[in-house]
Amino acid sequence: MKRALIILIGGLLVACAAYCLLYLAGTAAHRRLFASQTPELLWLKKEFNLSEAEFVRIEQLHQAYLPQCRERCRRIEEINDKIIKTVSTATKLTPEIERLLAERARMRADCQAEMLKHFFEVSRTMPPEQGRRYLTWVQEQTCLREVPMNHGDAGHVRRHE
Amino acid sequence: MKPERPSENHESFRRLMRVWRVDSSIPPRFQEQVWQRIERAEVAKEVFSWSAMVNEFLRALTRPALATAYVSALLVAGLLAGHWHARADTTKWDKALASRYVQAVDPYQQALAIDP
Repeated sequence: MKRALIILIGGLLVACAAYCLLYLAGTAAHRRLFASQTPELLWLKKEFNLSEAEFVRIEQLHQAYLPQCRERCRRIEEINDKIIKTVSTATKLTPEIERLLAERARMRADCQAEMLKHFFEVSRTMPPEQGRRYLTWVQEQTCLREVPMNHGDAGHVRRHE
Repeated sequence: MKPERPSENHESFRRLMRVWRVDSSIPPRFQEQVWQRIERAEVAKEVFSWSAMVNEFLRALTRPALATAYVSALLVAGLLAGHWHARADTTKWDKALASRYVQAVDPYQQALAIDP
């Protein structure tokens, strides 16, 4: 009976060891990604099969893009606050509100244009095939692809052109 | 063709049974032995339990062939579970990292992005 118990428990330990071994081996690369400063860029490198030189260049583009993006966001937030304050005290559409709305729309358009410019730069840094794949992917994932419009009509959903 | 009627079949069967004779004799204490076998089967049915089954399994595990099969099966199960779990987690992490990249370059996606 003692021998049988040793075999029983030994079998379970072997199963646990096999599980841990394959799990750790299978997730090792991803755990290394998460330990880095910019795991999302390392993911990009892996996903689009980038060489080290391409990755370094894309990392530089990314680091240069982020502060400008944050600054544009800050300015849009400022205008958002102004619009909220102005609208809350107004009783009709004033030239000031129209000006602020136009300014916000212009800044959003600038923001999208800069974003698209960044995507083109990144895609040009990649091998041509991967660059095309990257562009298709970012267009699907970002605000360049607008959310469907819906006026509440049943089954009537249109996209921004 | 005229079909045979059940009553006719019955009659022929009865005739056959009337002429049939059993020449061999039954073994001594045949009836008693039959009852003993029935009793043993009933007792065996009553004593069936999980502990008996576990004991039987443990006894069987001491056989080298079964022990090897048992450890091998658990080894394969552990490998498959580890592989499957790692695959599921890495797929989930890939989605999370893709979402993180998109959020970094497109702040508008913070409200729209699906959490990993």
